[in-house]
Amino acid sequence: MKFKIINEIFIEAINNVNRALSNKTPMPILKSVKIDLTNEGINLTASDSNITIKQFIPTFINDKQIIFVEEEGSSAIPGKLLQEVLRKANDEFVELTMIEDKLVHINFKNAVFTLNCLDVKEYPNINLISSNQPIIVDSKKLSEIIRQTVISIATSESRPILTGINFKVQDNILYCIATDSYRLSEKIFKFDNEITDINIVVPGKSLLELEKLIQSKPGEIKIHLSNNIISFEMDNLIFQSRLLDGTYPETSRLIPKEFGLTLGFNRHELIDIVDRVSLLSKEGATNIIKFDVYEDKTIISLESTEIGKVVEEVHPLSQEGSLLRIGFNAKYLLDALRILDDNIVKIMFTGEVRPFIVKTKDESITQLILPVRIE
Amino acid sequence: MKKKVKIIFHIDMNAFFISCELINHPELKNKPLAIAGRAAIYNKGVVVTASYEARKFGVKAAMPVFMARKLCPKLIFISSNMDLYQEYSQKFIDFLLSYTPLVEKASIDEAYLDVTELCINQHPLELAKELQTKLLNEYHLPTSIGIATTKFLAKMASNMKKPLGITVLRNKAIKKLLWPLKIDKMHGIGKKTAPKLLEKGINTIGDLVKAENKTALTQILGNQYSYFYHLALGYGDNVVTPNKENDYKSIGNSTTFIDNIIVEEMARYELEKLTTRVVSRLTKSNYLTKTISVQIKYQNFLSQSKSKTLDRYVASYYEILTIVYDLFELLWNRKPIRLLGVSCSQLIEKENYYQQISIFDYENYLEDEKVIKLIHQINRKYGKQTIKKGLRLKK
Repeated sequence: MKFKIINEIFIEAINNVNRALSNKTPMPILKSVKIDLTNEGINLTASDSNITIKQFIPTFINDKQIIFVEEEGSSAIPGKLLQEVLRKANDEFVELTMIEDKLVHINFKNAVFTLNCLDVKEYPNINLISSNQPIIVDSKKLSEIIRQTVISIATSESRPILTGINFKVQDNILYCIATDSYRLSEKIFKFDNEITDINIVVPGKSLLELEKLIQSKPGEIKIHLSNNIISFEMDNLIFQSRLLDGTYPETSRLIPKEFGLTLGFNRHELIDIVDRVSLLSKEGATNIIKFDVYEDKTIISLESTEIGKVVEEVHPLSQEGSLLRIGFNAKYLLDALRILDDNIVKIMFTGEVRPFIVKTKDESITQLILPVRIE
Repeated sequence: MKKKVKIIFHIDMNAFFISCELINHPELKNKPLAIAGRAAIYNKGVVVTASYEARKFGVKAAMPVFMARKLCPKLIFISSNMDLYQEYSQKFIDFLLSYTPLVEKASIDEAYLDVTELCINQHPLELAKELQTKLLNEYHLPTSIGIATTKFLAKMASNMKKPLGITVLRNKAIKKLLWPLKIDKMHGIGKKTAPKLLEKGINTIGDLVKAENKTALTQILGNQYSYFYHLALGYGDNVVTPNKENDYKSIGNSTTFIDNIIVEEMARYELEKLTTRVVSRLTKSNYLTKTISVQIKYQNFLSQSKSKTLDRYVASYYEILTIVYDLFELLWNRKPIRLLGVSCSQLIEKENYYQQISIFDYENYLEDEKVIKLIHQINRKYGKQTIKKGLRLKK
């Protein structure tokens, strides 16, 4: 295998596929990026066996030659190292030459790097799934769906299913739900076309990586599904992830429909206040703020016997319903406020020990938070 | 701002473990007693502490049991009962706290008090006499009290007259009372350092401040030199940190076995006992824990431990015991066990902990809602904490 390529394009593709690499892998070969070179172009593959990312770089883009192929072939090159070398390269082109499947020369300007490689024949055969009727979503929309729900996934492995996001399609409506059991995010998206019902759980970690990948790539995404795999296909790029096994808890009846008290706030102002008040919180269980709602004001406070206390008075933009005193984890509210977009945010309470929700005028997104017992 | 001179008490309980035992066994009063481990019946182990009657025979702490027996054949051995001592230690602290919040527990049998404010209306000597008398008459705990301007001086003073002494160490009197003392009597100078100092001719605390000793002292004490130098001159820490006793990083208990444990049931039985002790200490000090550890020391002194961190705080005996058993199962290599330990870390005060309700259990709390609403309404009207839920009331 031997080729020369425009470095800027090569490194971008390597950056993309390298998101799948992990330091903790049972198979050493999976620390490598697989390069398959033909006269049509390069196929790059990286995988940690849960996530697989594949990108194709065509030889020509808009009649401009990107790759100069001298000898077709395949190789497996240490991924992180290749990325570092390319990042430091100070030339428009880099040239890669494989020596007997064991060494690769990377040449640019006056430098030659020689890296040891594992035999590409050891690289596992990773099946990429494909279906005839993929679900089609706009990449910007998908990015928004992930961003607004992924905050609520569980970080501890005590209930593994909760580390994922539940995607459920029913009557052409997609419900995306994430919960760590103390808060919940739900995003609803209506398809214009006919979609078969599905109910799957995608690992949150995979979706976080996917989101970074598609963030700045406008366009259409084709979603393919098989029994235990989901695949997202864009121009020349495929992101595939294993699904989580198990049944996602039923949460549809959790989100309250009627509220005893609704408060309206300026979102940015509320972020500032909550951020300021939680200054006195220690990481963990003392990050509890209290909302004391009076007729003419709301007192937001935090008290820790070890550190001290803080009290801040706020005047909601609107208020409707009966007075209340409630405590909850400040981080949950901050996370929720930060991923919403509108200027005005409504907090809707149902009771002292019941879930409350945070909403904007965008009806498609609901953030639900469970309080703590403070009495 | 003018720096105010503080009045610090150091209260030391005399032969504290013995006093605790005498409360339960008054018939042993005025007899030579020694506290040692359970191994004492086999003539093994060392003396933890001895009563004043036994000390007259030369029985001392850390002395091997057989040697103590030799010195005082009539010596009565009592096996140590840490739970009991902890209990009285807490009573002692609680009593002091009823006078001032500025109480710092220095160890199980001693505490520092900042009585500067209290002594505006009462003479320090009078106050000390009152504390000492009450502790003796109401709690049967004899004490020695040192009165001075720093913690170090107070500690040195309480040591000067035992038992039941009250000693005032004025800064003016340092030269006369403190400096003649032998260097190994200085709090902070350990058994390893003292001989080195004596070898260099530094025999008394007074020698510490002599300029000609500076080189030798710096060599032995290193960067600690200036610290001890200032202590000897009467400058030192005079800040009594009240919540120090609550500042546990972890709570743990361990037991060393006379005969190594080889049977699993036996190990489980001991783990159960240890867990009971740890959980009772946890509950008493109003803590919840997140990390639970088990330690095993084998015959060859190889020590291993394993721990588990939960995603929430607990204090329930059964919950903790289950984890202890699981950890033990994972850790034990089936070799004879010399020591077992159970400990809890990542502690949080109950007061700072609020139970997080989850989407799976919030319905269990709904019946409380009316009560909670009422509590909030009353407290709002009549002031914070007018009423509380019964469970949260402190004894």
